[in-house]
Amino acid sequence: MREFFRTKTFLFLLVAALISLSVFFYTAFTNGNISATSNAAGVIITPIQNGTTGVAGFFGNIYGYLYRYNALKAENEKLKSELRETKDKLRDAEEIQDENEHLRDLLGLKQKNKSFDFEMAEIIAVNIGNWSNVFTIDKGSLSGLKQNDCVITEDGMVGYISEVGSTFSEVVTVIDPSMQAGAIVSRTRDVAVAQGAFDLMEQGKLKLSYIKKDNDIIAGDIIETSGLGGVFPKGVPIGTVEKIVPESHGISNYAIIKPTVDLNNISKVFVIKSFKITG
Amino acid sequence: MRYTRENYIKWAAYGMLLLVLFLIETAYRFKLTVLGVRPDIIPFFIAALALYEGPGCAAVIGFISGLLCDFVQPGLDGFLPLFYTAAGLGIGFVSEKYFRKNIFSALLLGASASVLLNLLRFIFYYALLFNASVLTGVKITFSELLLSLLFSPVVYYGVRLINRHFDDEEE
Repeated sequence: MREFFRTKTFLFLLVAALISLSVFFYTAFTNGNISATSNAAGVIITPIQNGTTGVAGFFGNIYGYLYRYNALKAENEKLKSELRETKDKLRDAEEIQDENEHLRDLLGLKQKNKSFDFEMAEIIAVNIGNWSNVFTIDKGSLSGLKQNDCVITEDGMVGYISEVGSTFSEVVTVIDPSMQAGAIVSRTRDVAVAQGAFDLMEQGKLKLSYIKKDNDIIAGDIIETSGLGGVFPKGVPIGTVEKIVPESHGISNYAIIKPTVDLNNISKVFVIKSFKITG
Repeated sequence: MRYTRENYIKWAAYGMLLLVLFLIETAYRFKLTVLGVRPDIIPFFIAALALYEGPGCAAVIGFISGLLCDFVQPGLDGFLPLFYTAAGLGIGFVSEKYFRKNIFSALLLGASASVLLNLLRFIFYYALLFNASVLTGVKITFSELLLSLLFSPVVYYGVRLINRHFDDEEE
């Protein structure tokens, strides 16, 4: 073991440990931007993850076709000759349709929220482990994204950008324990805070905290962003109330919220790069 | 750890294995999830590597693994490279003296590294900053560990295959 400390390997490890410690303290005392090492790793790895996502999607599609094979067989026979002729056109049409749907959603969102400036992005990776609910998208500062930009789909809020790299960003979802957003109950206009919680994350839910005892919030109420503070835009749906539960200290209640966005079934998201503050 | 051409190729092979494991773990459309829990097999990879290649190689690959994992992980950058480097070194030194090169040793050492990593994460990050309860910490740590143990033999045999292939060539 004493010989090991005289080797080049040990020297390398010493340098590696120093780099790790420098990065550790750098990120501990700076906020928002990813460290240079992570950024470099990200810039290299993001295109590979993009490719993996594509390949996984391809195999996912094949699985889908096989699964529905029996049900589609009869119909498939009938349409076979017609399909052969139009196969290439259909493939093109499907791609266009998919793109069209997203653009239509974007247009709908834009019509509802004229001040929003969107950037469309694709999810390319998820975090490792079970302590958080974070994913990586394929757009970063080069596309004009910034820390705390709100990430949505046509159904509502997905989360917000926690860290930005050049060509990728980390998105903290609404159910992650580190997420907090000013919220308002759509029907009663009561103001509260929507936040992730460890106990609810595994169920895919979050909580609405600081609800006064006398507030008239009921199951089914829609919760949306309040826009207070100017970090997130106002009126983006977060979720619907499932249940009201008294806090352990007994002073206030909290509500369990089911997100309006199905976080397990999204692939494309919109990032709100800028909006008019109306809070 | 000798700096021969064969060794460089072997490390490249380990690097490729690490990249494949990382891409599988982080692929969005191909989520490895059982009852909402996802495995983390990187600690088992480092343990198997330390068992077969010793502390030097395991620490170097551990450092690279940490950098890769930091990129998709929220929180402080730098912690995972530090942890995996130390884990590679520690497991390497311990296994040289006290463990045989077999799957049980690899699983035991990998499980220890996994539990220690989650414990450190829980105490110094999630409990401190987010008031995570001990019960939640235990639940996350052990459900992840059980699932990771299911997948870890594949990692062990992958490392063993590379090690044996290149060691045979050297002989």
